[in-house]
Amino acid sequence: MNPRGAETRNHDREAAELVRRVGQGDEEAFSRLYDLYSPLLFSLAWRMLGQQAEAEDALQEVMLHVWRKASSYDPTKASARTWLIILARSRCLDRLRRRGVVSRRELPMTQEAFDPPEDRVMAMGEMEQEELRLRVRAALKSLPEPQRRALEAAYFDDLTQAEISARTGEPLGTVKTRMRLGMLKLAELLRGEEKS
Amino acid sequence: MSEKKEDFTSESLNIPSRLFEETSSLLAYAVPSRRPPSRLKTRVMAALKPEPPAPALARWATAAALTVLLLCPLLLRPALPLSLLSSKGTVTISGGAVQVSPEAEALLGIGGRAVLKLSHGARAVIRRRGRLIEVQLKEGWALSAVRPGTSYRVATDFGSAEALGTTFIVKAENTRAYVCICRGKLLLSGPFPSGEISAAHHYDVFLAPPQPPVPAGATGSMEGHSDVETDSLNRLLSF
Repeated sequence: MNPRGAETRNHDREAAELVRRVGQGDEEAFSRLYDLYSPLLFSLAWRMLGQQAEAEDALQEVMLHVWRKASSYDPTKASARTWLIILARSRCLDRLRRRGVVSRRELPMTQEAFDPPEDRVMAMGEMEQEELRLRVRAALKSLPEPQRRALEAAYFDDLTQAEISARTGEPLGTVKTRMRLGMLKLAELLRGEEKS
Repeated sequence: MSEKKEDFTSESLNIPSRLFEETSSLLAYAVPSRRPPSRLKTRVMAALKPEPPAPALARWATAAALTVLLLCPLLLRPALPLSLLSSKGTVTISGGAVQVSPEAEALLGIGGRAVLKLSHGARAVIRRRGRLIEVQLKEGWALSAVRPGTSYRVATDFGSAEALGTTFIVKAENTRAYVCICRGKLLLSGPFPSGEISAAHHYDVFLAPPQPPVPAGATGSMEGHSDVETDSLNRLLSF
């Protein structure tokens, strides 16, 4: 078994247990869950919203939602990590759509995204997350660039396939195919590693 | 609200939903890692505790007491007179909260007692605490000229600078604050031993608790302001 896959599963199990305890009103578990996931959710919010202040507000909104709704989390439907990320992205999309205009910073997945993390001491959970971060970046980097860009535009910038098509000048069908192939390839790369 | 329909979905891409969700959520890991400020956790944890349910009478009494408490300061103390003297770029003012966009500047008069220039994406809340005028600087730069005898303070997460008849600038950074006394005297306080700094012509320090303030030296000398700027602010104090 790949030790990295095992670590990820341990991490997922810990997150699921923490969410379960948060659902019972356990503040200590909430604090630990915040420590584990706030950097990831905050980074995502900042990337999508482009402003620190709004990213802070979005993170606070997400974490308070987690506190109130953790008891409704169903581990058979998604991992705790996925649940948290979907929740955060969904809140950011709401905020973007409320703005009405695309005034956010549009940050393409340039070198900045692939730079190594700053050198500092990390806790165990953070190390696992950092490792996952490196794996996701490596997997994304291995995708053909048009596929990668299409996925980023849809996921982070809330662009529809038609909008991406208009922006790139490529046929709608090509955009859709690129996104589908990109997602399947990404799933294969990331899952394959865990299963091996 | 936009009518836009998201089509980055498992149905649209014809991918099994669980596989789509697990994989797409991993894209979140592709962004550069940023840590939220530690004060945010304090804010979130403080928001967890719901108000305990109170009996109806107690609730009514509490509400009445709160109303009196809230109204008293308003009745007894005039509102903080805040005026926008000039601005450049996008400036948002709501009550005492002021936010300027990264390229913008706002020049504010505070009751004829102080002139405050906010810039470099500054976010600040200006409020009165008794006799004290307090500027809570969350981000960016705040250059202040303060009339002697005015009780005035710029507070950051890393400590505060209180005017003792002076012109000074404060910059809130991510892990520390920068303070430059342009002329006059300042009282620095925070999670470190309080102390005064004074200068006839610019002296700057970094506040990075728990260490005591350290001179900025060459790395911070006269950052973000000039004599011309401080002179123009001082002239405005006679408005």
